[in-house]
Amino acid sequence: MKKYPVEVYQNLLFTKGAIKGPQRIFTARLLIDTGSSYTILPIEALIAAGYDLTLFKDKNKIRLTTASGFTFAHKIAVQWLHILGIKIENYPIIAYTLPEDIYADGILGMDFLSRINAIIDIKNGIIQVH
Amino acid sequence: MKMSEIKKKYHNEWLLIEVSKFDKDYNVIEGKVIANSPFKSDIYSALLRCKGKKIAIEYVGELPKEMAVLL
Repeated sequence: MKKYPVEVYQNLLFTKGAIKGPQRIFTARLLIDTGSSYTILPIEALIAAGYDLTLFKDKNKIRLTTASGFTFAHKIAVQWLHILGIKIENYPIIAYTLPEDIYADGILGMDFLSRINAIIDIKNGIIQVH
Repeated sequence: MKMSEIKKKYHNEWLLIEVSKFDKDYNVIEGKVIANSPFKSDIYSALLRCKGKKIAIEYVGELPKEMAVLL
């Protein structure tokens, strides 16, 4: 079992993630959200990484329900995703740009947290992974 | 420029960094700031024009004291 420090601010937890696309690697700041089904990354970053979202068909879109309503977003498998010391290849994420005032680029959701069997120690700002 | 130097130079801003060196967990060790702004959207615009192979989006500084998020 490994322990990874995360940034705790007020009632929020942040970490970083690295993503590999066809053209480049980028890293982004992620809000850890156990209320999110999926891991989410900004559309602009995915385009910059080399994904042409216009080539993805509507069947790749999913309905995304948020606190303020719903929208549709592309589900894309990135070449790899590296978060909390774990790299997973061909990983599906949601392409969606979060509002400006959220101090994060994306969301680390339950899909990834479940897959690595994460244990969140909020008091000490640590996530244990198996 | 080292990340420690970048953090001293910029404050309460979003940065787009062309990275020359990551650590094993993809934290930036060294890189060049190619865009900086208090607004994340400016960084995303710059991101679409950037040419680097390794790119990091970072926020340096303090977060607002009263911040609430509901997604």
